[in-house]
Amino acid sequence: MILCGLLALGAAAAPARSAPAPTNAETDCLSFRDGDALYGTLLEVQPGKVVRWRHPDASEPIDFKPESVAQIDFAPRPSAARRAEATCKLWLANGDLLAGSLVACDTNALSLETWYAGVLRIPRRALQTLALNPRTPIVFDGLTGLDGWTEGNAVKAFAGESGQWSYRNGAFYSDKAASIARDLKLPDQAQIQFDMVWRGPLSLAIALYTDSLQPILLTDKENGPDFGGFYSLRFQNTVFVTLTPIRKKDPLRSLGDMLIIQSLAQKNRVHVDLRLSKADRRVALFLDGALVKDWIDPGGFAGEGTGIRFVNNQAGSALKISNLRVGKWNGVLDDGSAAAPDPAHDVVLLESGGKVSGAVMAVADGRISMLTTAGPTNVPLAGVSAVEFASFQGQPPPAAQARVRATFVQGGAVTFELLAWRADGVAGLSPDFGKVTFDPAAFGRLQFPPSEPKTTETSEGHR
Amino acid sequence: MRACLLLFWLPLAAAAQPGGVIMQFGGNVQFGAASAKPEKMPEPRGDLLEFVDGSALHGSLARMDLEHGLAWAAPAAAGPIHFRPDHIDVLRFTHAESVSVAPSCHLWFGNGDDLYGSLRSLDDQRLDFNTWFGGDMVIPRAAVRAITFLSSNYSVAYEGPYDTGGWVVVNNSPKSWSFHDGAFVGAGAGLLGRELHLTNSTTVEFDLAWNNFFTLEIGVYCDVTDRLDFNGGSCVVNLTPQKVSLAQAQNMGVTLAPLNAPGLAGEGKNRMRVAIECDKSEGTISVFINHVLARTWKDCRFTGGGTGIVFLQRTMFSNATLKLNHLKVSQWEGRCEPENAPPPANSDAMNFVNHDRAAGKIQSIRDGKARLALANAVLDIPLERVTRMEFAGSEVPAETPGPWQVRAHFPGGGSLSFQLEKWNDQAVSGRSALFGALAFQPNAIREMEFNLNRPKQDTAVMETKEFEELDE
Repeated sequence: MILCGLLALGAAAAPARSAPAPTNAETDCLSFRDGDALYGTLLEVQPGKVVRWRHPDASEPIDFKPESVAQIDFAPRPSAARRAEATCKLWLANGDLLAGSLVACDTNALSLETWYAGVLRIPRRALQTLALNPRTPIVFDGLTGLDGWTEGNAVKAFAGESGQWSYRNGAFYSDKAASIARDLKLPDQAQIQFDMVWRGPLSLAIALYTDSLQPILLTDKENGPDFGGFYSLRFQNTVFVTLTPIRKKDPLRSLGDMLIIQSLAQKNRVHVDLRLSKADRRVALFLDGALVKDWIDPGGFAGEGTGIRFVNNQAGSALKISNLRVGKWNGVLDDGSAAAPDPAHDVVLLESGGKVSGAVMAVADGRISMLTTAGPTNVPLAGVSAVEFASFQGQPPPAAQARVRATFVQGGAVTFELLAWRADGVAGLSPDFGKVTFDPAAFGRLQFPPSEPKTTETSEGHR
Repeated sequence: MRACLLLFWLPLAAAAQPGGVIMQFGGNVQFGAASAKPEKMPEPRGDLLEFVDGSALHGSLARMDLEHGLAWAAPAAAGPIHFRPDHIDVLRFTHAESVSVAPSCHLWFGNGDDLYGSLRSLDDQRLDFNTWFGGDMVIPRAAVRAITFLSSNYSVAYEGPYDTGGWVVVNNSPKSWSFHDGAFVGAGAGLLGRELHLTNSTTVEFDLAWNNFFTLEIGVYCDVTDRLDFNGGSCVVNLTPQKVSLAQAQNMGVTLAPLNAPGLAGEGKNRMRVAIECDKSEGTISVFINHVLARTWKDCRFTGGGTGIVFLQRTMFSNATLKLNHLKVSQWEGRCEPENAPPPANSDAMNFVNHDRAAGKIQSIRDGKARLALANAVLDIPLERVTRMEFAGSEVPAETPGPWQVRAHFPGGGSLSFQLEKWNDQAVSGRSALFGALAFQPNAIREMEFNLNRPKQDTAVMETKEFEELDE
């Protein structure tokens, strides 16, 4: 399902220990399997031979043994800012996520044009979900840094300390009570989507349609600075969810009963999808593609601003927010995304809420040609929100040896066999799209596989 | 006055501790459950080179000199790495020799250096001093800031941790105490204990660093080391970033006069030096934070006969980390003077065992007596009556700032700064503005600090593993 679990998980090779605190923003960080770390600059990787590293205090480049290296985090490269307009995101069955523009698709392969690796031709067996940017205007798409965001003043924390959000590789992170806000110019009818991963008790408050970029102390709001009304969607103790209209003078009163979502206790990541309508006084919450609650505010729409604010209320809980996308909502509540996936057929999801099931034969000339039980049909691409491809039933190709996992600066990741890493290009070999050369500026992190091959590999997909 | 000094370390009996590490896993509320599964802590992984930016690389030091810099053999590297010292923070040596020392005084210099040893004599120009690693030393009087006189049976019961031997670890969560590079790191509730056979008055001092709220209880004179008992006169100091309190068995575990001071460690700080001083003769327990007395509790009893220490971590947030290192437990008897008195302005000062204090001019120390000139009299005071001396206008010749200016830390306590010139497997040599030429045996040094005046990344416990685990 398109709205289900947008967190595509790969089998990341976890480093033995994390890198030091990310304070050396101008340098790369080399993390070793034994937990050591060294800042500097990656010069070259020759798999099986050497990881060549420059350290400012070393007179000569340092040659490290590749088997001792767990991960490299890259400082932002200037050229990474030239992010070409991606019109779609493509999830692969192995958990990879690629951003690009759809060129074509036939019964054998899909072609995706990317700024970081040219045109990738990916076999159908490797495809999982193609998500197309909606036609409705996108207000905000993807976190790219802290610029434009307002870090809040100290947030009152339970016992622990307050802090600030940090940014890395397309995501905001917080492990202390912290607030971050931005006036995103939310339209009157808006869809807000993001992925959320947490460690420890989840305690997040999301202020919707707020005009205040600073956190509001709800227990003393009457005596604090003035603010316009907003909605506070709160996740407390992981499983409790409430929506409360917040007005300066009104008493705090949640809409309806507190929701208890036990499934959140069994996971540590979820895709959040909010659909809001001022005219309908509506706030609808989807979690992992399933409608959890559709609130209608009898007191009228409380939101008076156009901003959004994320407040981690739990000191000691680590929280990550990524893939934030805000657009104008088309008003469709049931778009079929919550239905059970159909692994035997390709499913085209329409922006209107409908879907077409069958076999995608081709994508060309602005339409998707499908073969359905009712016969051939063409679906205009302009009305499609996503395509979920049928699961591959045959024998998968052998996995590449010594695969690395590279995380894109703007989110997503790709696994491949690393042939060489140099400053002017990253040569790789993928069982899905063959030989490829990446622009190294596209990557924020490179993870090396453990020395000993894993016996099992989990690859939680998009579904 | 300068003295050319050759400080050659003579091997002394290592303070070996019997036993190994026992790790136990119990429930969340009962510490020390017997159904635990033993687990071995990781052993030290060699020496450690840390940079001011937070980088860290295990390996071993091959050699070091002004021309070639530092040659570091890291297992991860194909060959020796030659680093210039410009951004090195500290070198930690895992296998520096442990020593049993019984110094009679603690010497403090105006530049922050300090030495443990024995005072021979003092006049208006020089101080004759003897250290376990350097023999007789001649020190300009003007460089000395203070002398703390230790009791006759002062001894270091424990210094470390440098390995896990002798410690009992009772984990109540999978991520509780673990040993990393000379420190115990706790990321969950759990207990750490050690039998030290404490009999006299005791001082437990350690560095603590944290990245979130914590509650740490430190038990002294404990009967057992695999759980925290309130029996037998043991005392338990409860410590949080904001508060310190005390409980003793006599009060049935009731907290005694907690000190709740906002920002106990300093606002926005995440590390502090803690010293817990249990004075049996005075019946007091004093807690010092960053060398400043936080509180003294009186009328304490130490009648139980317990002889161990325990560190119990009660509550931890899911990604909170606590780091405990530079732990030193010393025993003494009869006298102890807090080392937090303000420095005198224009006159010397002397503290006595009866807690009196006199200001004047300390003229000399000779034949077991100190001569103190007051306004109208000159007193000859037996040294056993003196707990501390402070000297007016302490001034140490400044070392030339630079990357080769280092401070060596020695086993048993004490540190000395100098200009490093050469280090190989035979000797460490350098030059001090205070002492002139210096030489040590390499294994007489526990740690070597570099770039003493350079801002350093505060990476004490700021592990971001939890964040890493959030990544896809």
